[in-house]
Amino acid sequence: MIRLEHVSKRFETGKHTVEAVRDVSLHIEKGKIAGIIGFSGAGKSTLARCINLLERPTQGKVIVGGAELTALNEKQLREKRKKIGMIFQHFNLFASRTVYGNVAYPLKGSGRSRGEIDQKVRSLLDLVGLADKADAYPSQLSGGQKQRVAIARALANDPEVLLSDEATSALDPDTTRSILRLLKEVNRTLGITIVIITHEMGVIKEICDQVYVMEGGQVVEQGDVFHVFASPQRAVTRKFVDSTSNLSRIRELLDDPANPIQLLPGDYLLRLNYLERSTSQALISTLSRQFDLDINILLGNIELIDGNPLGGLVVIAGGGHDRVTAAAEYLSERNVLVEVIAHG
Amino acid sequence: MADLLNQIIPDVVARSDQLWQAFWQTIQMVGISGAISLVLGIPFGVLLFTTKEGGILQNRAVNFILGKICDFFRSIPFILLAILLLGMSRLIVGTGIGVTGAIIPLLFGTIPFLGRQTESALAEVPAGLIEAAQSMGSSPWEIVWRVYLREAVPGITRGVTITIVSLINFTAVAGTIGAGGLGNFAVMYGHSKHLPQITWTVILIIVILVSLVQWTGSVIAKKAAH
Repeated sequence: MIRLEHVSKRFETGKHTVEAVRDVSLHIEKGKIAGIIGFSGAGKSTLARCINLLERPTQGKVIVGGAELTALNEKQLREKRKKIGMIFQHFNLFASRTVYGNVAYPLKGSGRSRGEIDQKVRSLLDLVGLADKADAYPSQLSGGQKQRVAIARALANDPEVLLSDEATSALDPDTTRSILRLLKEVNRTLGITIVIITHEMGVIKEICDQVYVMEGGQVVEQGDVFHVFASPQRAVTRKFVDSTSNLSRIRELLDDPANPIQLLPGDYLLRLNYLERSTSQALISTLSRQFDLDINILLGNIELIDGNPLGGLVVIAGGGHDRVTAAAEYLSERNVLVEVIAHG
Repeated sequence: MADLLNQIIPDVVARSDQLWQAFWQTIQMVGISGAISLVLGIPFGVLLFTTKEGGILQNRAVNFILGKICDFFRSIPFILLAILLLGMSRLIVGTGIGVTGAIIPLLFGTIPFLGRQTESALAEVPAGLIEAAQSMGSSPWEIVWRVYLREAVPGITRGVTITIVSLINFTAVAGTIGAGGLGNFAVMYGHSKHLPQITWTVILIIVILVSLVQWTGSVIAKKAAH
């Protein structure tokens, strides 16, 4: 559905040249929800704007729905953009228009009659659950409601693709979840391909099928969400993955001057990362019985991603070097990654 | 009432016909040049803004020329501008005096002014809205009509209000060089014939006029802002 081929975007401001996107190639299939994650300045918003050519790439090809956008003239491009909806962090609703007026905006000039437009607007407002707010102005709505209006507006011309640029970054966690649910529903019921730009790994975890991790204008890691979560390769990816779990808190505990973690000689502080459906086995009891270890669970974080359990534990395993090593080998055979954080 | 006025401002009452006539001349000058200014000044401001670097109709040459023209006329004090344009006024409307003769100088005074006011009103429209409109496939002219001019109504209304207020001032200045109207009336009687009652009455009328314009403008701007 979306194909980027060696896309680069340079900004020239006087003497400075900023290369916001560097040689990015990617392919997002129809009906998928793809996430692009990165810290601020990683180039993810610029990359998203390259998809509908709000930013024209300095190099490379952009192909959406079979049409090479980079080869179109302005007029053809405008027609094509009607099939690529976009929503924004700050909603970008027209303050002078009502909710109804905002959703009707992109429908004007689409060849539809007044009655057809009315019907379309009503059904879109139904879809986003704001049928009763048609006559309200944006200033009278909450953030979540504003984003719902923006989604309805972006869907007005039945797009094939929806770009979401940090659409939940200005919202509280509950509202974020409800907006993500709405996007998922839109994806499922209308079959729209969605590209989500975010700096929150939680968003990716919640609804994306694939993820692209950006750093310094490049895509440094990509894959389906489960695999990227399960075995992040790059430091930046690990940071994002850690941000969604409480396991990384062990570092804070170790640095705590009050020294809440006491390791006795022969104790090992381990982090166990569960990869690939390994959680269903009774690993801890097995370790305890088979390797004669004393295991104390300090932190745990297991969640379902894409229907698969994923996560890990931070434990203190007491029993000496040999027994712990044997246990670690047993674990790696069962797809559990063992990391020694400290030992007594 | 008439008696009372006759006691307080006998000099004005004695010339009420001329005052009435002067008042109407002022209203005519403000009305006609105000209307033309709106029609020309707002598009002028739209061009000033949209042809800027990064604007939706970016055009360096046009922006440079319009900007220079605007600054040129804005930097000339209105009294000098009016004198300078007398000849041009004769050429275009056939006369350099009276209400008709005042229109051309007034337009040159107000159009660049309203242009800049419109420009800054448009600058207040959040850039994100333009981006959103572009993402929905709107053309640059559609964005001008359906986004900029609509979203900027409160700002433009404030700009128009300020413009009309200064237009009222300009008509008074134009009056001193033969344009007629309240300014002329005040200079002819109040100043030349030493009748301070006339000057004060004219000032009072202008203050009321300006207040009315300001109040109307504020009400409209407030209504347009949601």
